Amino acid sequence: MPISQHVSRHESRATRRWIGAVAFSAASILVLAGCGGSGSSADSGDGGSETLVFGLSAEPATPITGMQQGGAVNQLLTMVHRGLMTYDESGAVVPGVAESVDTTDPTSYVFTLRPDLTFHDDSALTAENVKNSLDYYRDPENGSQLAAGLKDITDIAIDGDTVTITLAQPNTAFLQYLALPFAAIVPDASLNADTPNWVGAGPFEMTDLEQGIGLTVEKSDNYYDAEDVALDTIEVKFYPDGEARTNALLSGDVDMIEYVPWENFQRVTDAGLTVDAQQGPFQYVQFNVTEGPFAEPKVRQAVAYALNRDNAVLAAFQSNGAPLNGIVIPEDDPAYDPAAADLWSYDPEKAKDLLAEAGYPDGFSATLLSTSQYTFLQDNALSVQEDLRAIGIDVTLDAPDWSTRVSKGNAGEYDLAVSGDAGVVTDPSYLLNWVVDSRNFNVGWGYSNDTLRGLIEEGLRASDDDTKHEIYQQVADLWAEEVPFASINTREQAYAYNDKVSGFETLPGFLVFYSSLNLAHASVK
Amino acid sequence: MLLFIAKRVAMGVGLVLLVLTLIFSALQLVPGDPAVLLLSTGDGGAPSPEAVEKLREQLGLNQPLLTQYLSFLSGVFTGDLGDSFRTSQPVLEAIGDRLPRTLMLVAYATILSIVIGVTMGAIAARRGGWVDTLVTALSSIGVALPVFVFGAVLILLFSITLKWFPAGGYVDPSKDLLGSLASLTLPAIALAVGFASQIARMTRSAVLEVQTQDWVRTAKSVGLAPFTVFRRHVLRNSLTPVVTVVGIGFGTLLGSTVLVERVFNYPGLSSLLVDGVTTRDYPVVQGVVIVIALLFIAINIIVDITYGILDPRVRRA
Repeated sequence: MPISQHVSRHESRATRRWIGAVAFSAASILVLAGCGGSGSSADSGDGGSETLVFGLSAEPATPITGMQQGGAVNQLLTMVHRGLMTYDESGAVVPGVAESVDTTDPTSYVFTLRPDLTFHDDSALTAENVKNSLDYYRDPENGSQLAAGLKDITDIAIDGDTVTITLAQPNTAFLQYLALPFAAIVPDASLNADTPNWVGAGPFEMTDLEQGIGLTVEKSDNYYDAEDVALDTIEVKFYPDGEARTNALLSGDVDMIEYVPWENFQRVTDAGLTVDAQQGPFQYVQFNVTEGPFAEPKVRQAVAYALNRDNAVLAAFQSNGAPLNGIVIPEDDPAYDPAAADLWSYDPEKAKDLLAEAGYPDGFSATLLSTSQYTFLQDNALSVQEDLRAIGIDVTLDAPDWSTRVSKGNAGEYDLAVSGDAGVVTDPSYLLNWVVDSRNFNVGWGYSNDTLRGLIEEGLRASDDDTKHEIYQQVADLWAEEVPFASINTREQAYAYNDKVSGFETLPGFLVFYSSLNLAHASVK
Repeated sequence: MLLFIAKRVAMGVGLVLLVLTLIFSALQLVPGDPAVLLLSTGDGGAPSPEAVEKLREQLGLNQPLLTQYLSFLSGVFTGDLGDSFRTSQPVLEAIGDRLPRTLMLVAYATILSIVIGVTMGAIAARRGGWVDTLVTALSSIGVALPVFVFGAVLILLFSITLKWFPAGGYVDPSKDLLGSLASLTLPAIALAVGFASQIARMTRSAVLEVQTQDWVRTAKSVGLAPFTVFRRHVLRNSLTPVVTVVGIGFGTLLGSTVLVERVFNYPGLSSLLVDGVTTRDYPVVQGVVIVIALLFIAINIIVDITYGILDPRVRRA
């Protein structure tokens, strides 16, 4: 039955509704048009105060004291915390909450604290706090990844504002561990797994956290170098998606981002912004050596000679990286020798010969574990797959999501895997991780080598530079034969920022991940 | 009638139980131990077995599956969905924060879709000719265009080039209403484009059909102005199927927010779900799925009951 037979009765109501709809459409259009220009929030702030809007590459987990929880959490720790030592603008280890450090002999360090130190909660930072924090970090029971780096400590003694640390043996990386973002001096109340590790003595104080959106840190007047800090506020916003992070920078929603996706380096540069990159982390193939062909060093060598590294840099990093034929030893370390980064070459013929020598003239099949969640790891894996097929190894790619990749890696469910990593410190002893069968997802499963381990530990104890250099030449020679991992390339790791930001620079090499330390020196126009 | 409603509600409760069991089992089947994953974020060596065991105990993952399942069920019925493994935030609180944001986005997109869709469809049917062809072509593109592609194009044009709208993120409407609308606009348009196209097509064909009805001819012959005839007799009678489509479309829109929230970095319920899945944050995934399932089931019950009220034949079915 038609509804509108009684035309007049419905007229007024229908008209009202119709007018309402038109009015609403008009209002929508007004809203659409009227918000023009409100898109830039980066210069918000109250009269003359300096606010930096910073795009973080993940929604960080709750910080747990002493834990290494990945890049995003470390960025925040560098803002709110400082340790006994820290890194200066160029990446050199310098005193942090300590004013000075004296080493009378290589196993004894005397730290003198700065006067009148206070935490963000206005409680005093004392030598007692230093001792308690370090005692907590070096206790393996607490699950802190610092325990390995601080294992040589035998005694921590305090006297007024001095802290004397005695080591069982010399350790060339010791001060570097004390400078790590998660080795900060914290109030005693934070020394447990349940209290979020937010209270520190660093340049910025955490004032506001909005789960899933972002957080705010504000300049702390309690910081020992507060007069040198220009920024009043850093508004950290979480952008887990690389594309969204880049777009936020290009549209002016944020002033600065970390972890710039490689495919966007050019896009950001073309837009007239700064891409501040450092050649840092490295990519490599790791092996399950518990069974099958890869238990044989010659087969691992074959893989190291089969990799077309130029191709990998182009495919996975759009040329924002460099081929790596060996191990990374930072240039400012006494152990540095360019030869260590040049152990193998791209030589498919030699690779085939090595396979034949090992008893696999016709090759074999293997699974290669990677992940589809991160494009660069997937592209790295595709490049490796292609190279190994060329020498007769029929590789099947296994590319689940990242969590599954980690689980399979932790359980050794692979023949080969592709990983990326960086040294937690710049001392080449970071290589220990790969030679002690640590059963970790990014370390060759089941691989341990007592000779390599002994050499690297000897390098830590080396009393002079020449000895250390000598030792690492032996490490490199053995690495070339043993191939605990077959390196592919180093990759550039970048921050990017607009022209309002000045005074910020990234830290070199592996330290690039701790570059937010330099936000203490940055300013915004 | 009461019996009919009771039957529908009982079915709904049964469905919720089924969903709860399914989601719990599915999560257990996916590889990846949350405790190991939580401790594997760093590069500082493998998590020690002791640390993993300690954390499993802390998270209650060391209990038998049946115990875990039952405590999860009792939690659901007492309104306690547990805490997030990763951020320690109570799941209910996280959902309470994020559900309104996603609903706001969906509501904005729905309104945009109706305004744009009905207008375009009505114009196409009324004008015919090249206008009709253009609208039909546009709506075909709109239906076929992937949300994330269109979203990226919107960001490129309106955020990066023109700088009219932010490229993503969220502004609290209670603090800054205009800023909130501005940040919602692009994601809402991206979400609305497919739906608006559907509504436009629907409106167009309904209007064309209604225009041939007797009462329209009568209205014209009594001398009403053409626009009055169109507005009062054609368009109003054409909107019934459109209303049905809007009801059904809600579910589709909610599904599409997964992509839109990713592209626009919008902290809604879908991004919480996706992050929960990638980090194996069981309580979060379970909580979000339950809430979404409840929403759907409730909407379906309401629709069923409404039909039952409108049409007695349905009740006997």
